[in-house]
Amino acid sequence: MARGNRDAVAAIYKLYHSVLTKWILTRGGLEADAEDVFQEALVVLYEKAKDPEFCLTCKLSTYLFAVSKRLWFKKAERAANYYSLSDEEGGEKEFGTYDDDLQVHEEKEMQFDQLSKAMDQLGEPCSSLLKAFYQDKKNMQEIAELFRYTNAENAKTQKYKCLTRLRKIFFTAAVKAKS
Amino acid sequence: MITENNISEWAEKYVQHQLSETELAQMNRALDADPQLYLQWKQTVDILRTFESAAERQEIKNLIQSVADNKGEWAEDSDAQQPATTVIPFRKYLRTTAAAAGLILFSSVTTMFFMNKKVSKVDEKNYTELVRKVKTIEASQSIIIDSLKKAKGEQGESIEVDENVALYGGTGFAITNDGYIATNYHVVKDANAIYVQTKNGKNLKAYIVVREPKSDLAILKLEDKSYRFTKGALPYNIAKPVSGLGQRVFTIGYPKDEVVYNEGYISCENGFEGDQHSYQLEMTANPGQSGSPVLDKYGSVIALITGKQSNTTGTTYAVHSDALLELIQSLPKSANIHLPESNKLNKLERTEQVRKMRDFVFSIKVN
Repeated sequence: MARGNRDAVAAIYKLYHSVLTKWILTRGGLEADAEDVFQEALVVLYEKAKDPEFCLTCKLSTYLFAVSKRLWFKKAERAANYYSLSDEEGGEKEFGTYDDDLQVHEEKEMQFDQLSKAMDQLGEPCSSLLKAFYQDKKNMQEIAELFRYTNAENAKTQKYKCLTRLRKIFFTAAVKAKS
Repeated sequence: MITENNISEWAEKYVQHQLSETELAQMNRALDADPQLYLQWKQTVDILRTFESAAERQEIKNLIQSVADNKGEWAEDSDAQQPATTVIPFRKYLRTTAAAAGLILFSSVTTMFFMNKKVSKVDEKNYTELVRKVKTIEASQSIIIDSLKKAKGEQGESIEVDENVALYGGTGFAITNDGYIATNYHVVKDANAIYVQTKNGKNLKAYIVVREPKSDLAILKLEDKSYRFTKGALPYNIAKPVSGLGQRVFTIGYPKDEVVYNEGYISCENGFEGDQHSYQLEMTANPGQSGSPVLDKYGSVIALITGKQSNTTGTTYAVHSDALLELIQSLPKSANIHLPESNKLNKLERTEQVRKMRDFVFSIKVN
């Protein structure tokens, strides 16, 4: 699955989707929530699987369940806006072991969030230029044509200028957020 | 020449592994020589790496989404029927649970009603006794606000010359990483100045954010806005207790200038005089421990010590943590309090739990 193999993803879906969805539905979730949680859990699993040291000591199902339940609780807590542990069979406590993974996942999410906010602040044409290069993975030639630069070299210079601006915005914002 | 103007390009080439050995060496020399330049380089590298991981994550999300959309690849027949059947049973259960809840509510209210009648009769018979007890609990609670000077003098220790002479002492513990601390109302209620002693022995000033005499709670904040207790998040959380009577608990606090550990168990789910918002614990607690956190074996804070029964040893009262949670909820959103959510103490040995916990429990001195 680490290699982004489509069959692997399909297999996981086949095995666990119905059980997990049922579980969330019985706890007051909507189908859409169940879908979101399941997919997010898969993302966490995938990113963990990329780590060369990752070697599941427990069954895949246990990991998936634990991560999904944790994600679901976080979602439910935010919705209900009050802090309460579920009255599970005391099962909540076990999930502490995957907290680090989830925390890493969440920190990454936050980083992405901050980055996209900084990108918005950047404005045009920088925002689209950087997106085209780093997200859509276009090459300099294509970008030069798209953005009507004289040649690829010019486009490259522009890109670096935008990157510098982004860096300044991003890191002053980050400093503000922390204090 | 590597300058601020072309640092982006160098950073990108670095991340893409496009630098030759000589170029790499040249870059490292320039970075070592100029810390400002190094910072800009590092920041650019961070951004580039973040772009990379964002792109990767988007890819896998797209893959997952496309598999999700293509049910043919994975849905079993029963799956297709699921959507229809799962929605209705949910609604059915709602009705029965609502009925059950109503019934339970009704029966508990009537029971409480009858119980109250009974209890008040007992109260009347033992009325004076109870009054005495109240008086003694008040006295013992005020004793719990220890007199540091007195204690120090008794033990014949040399008294530190502290320009801000503290008169009373209690305990408090961190509820957020950026300076919010929970303690008892009676510790700080008449304070002119409040000092919190951190792990490196410094006394930091704090002020009261909110006080709640009914539950004997108060929340303080360090005046120093930039102080942080630790690098990450707090390792414990504040929880509603999972189990009640018989739960093993422990506490750490400051009945003297050193941190002291005690352990015990919940001996009664209600506190003094049937107070439904406190526990009665069988655990030693001494003056100075007002405000100490009480944790269960999983490392969640479940209560805060408020007082003890004065004519016995070992009977301690602690207010439930949900009173603290309610108090925190009542603060305005601008206070920006994010309570610790995860609990890293869960699987650790008790000594480890204490070792991690003690950095967040403080001696509070009040004058």
